[in-house]
Amino acid sequence: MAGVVLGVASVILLVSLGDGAKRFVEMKFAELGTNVLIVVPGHSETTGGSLPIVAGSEHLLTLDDALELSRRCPAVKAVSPVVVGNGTVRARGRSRDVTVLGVTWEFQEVRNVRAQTGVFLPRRREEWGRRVAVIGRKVQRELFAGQNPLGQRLEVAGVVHRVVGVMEAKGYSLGFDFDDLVLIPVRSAQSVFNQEGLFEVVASAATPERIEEATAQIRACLKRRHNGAEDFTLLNQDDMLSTFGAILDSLTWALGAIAAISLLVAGFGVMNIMLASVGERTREIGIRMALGARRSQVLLQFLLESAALGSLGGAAGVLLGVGGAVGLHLIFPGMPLSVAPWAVVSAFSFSVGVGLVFGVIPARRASRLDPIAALRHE
Amino acid sequence: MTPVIDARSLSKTYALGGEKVEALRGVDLQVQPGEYAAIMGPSGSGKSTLMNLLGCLDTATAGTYRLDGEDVSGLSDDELAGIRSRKIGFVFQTFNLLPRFTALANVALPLVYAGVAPRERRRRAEETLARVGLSDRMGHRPAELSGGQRQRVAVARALVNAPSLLLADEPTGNLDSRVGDEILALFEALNAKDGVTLIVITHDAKVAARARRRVEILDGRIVSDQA
Repeated sequence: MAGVVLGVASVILLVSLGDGAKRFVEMKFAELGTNVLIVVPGHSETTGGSLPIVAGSEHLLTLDDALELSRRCPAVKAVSPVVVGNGTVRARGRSRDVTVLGVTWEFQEVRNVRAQTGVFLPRRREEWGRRVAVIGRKVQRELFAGQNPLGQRLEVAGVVHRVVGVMEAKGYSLGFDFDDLVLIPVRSAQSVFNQEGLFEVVASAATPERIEEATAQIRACLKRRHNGAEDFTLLNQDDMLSTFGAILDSLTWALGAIAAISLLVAGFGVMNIMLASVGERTREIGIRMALGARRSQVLLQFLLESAALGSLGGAAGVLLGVGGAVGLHLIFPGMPLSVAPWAVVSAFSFSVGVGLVFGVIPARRASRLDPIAALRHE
Repeated sequence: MTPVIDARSLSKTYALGGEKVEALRGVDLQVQPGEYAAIMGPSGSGKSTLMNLLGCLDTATAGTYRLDGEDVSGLSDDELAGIRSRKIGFVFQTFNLLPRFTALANVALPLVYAGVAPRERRRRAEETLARVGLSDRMGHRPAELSGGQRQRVAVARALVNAPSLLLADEPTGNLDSRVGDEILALFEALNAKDGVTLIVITHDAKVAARARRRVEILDGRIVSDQA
């Protein structure tokens, strides 16, 4: 019986974990805004998968590509090229390995990050090579001991920059921890990290309704610039969301299935309990038959008892599973957990079903007893 | 008048480990409604086999058996169960009450299998318990009752469906002589006042003497049948 209880509880818990993770991801995506588009180099059939390895210059996205997009796509409101590098940043005798992003002024608009102290990166194209930097909160804490870093020297991969701003606290967004990041102008990043092509171009559509339009315009514009080749991939948030969603759904199903298997195994426990019960009540079955019980009535009686066992275990399992989920959430408030009613109902129904199915053999054995022999039983 | 029991040339043969055992060899027996008969014989005489056949718990290998005029020889398991629930009442030596049920629920059980509705079941069970003088013990479980009381509950259970035939297998075997006497007196009253057709199976001559007709069985045959 414990098997049924634990099986049901684990189905509920594991599915809640999976479901919670999915909601967590959806929530994080929602923070981005729904009209963000990402262009990455290299063509891939399945969007949202891992980024293809750049090979050959025909796959590169260039700064000029980004400039053209902001000029020629009316449905696109803001565009920012993005260069990504990993390096050591040094200030006031301390150093730290961080991710460095080379972006432009419009990056604020597209990705919804702002400078809380000081200013963001320069707006004008002529200044895209200036050695200035905007740092994240954690970088400020670690390198500047939380004090005002504005105007201070910051060595980025060996090249001296000046801090002009500190970002508001943001945390993780689309794979980057913005608190532990340094933003510098895009041309500066290209020269510091010796990269010719862009990591990606991020853009936002003028309104969420115009995403289709913006996507089409970006695609057409880049194809023209790349001699008709579609050697880039356009990702929008919905694509990424649905891919993530699909991955997490599979994860949730897999977890649920594993737990369901354990529930099935527990069914054997139910069968053994019922077989023992039939054995102990052999004489009782004989009495009932002598009093007029038909074989089908005996069968039904024991099937119902078995189903009752299953539902009792199921109910206890639901209590344990839901209680466990609530408890876990209290202990670890950060852990994403969401108890889906469908999981509770399915797990409970499954346990009743398990009780029924695994009760068939014992019930048949009971119904097939010979009343005379059963009456003589101990 | 249609006899309750009309058995002719009733035989029962078992296959036991490759050998054939003839438990009953051509038994003829007629019992009229309202009779009180004892079937007496030593162990191994075939009396239990005869009881099983008369109570429709088993079918004969040869001969015919008409219960209340109905030929039950060729009936299926389910049909026999139906007959038992409506026409037969059993009283066993070891009482055979269900331990987790109250006296009332025990008495009502045959009515469950006869398809009677719950309220009607309760009413008839209460009524029958009153007939055996146990109205004040309805809510008790068997463990809370004395041996004599348990057997009374069993008698009530056997009567609740107004059977054509009440079969009692060594009904006083597990009771001391005083209590056993009370049960036999109850049988006499039920037979005399209510006309219950009663057959007691026993090896005890003193018990058999209380009945109005004694049928003696030996080695699968009836050797004497006296009123």
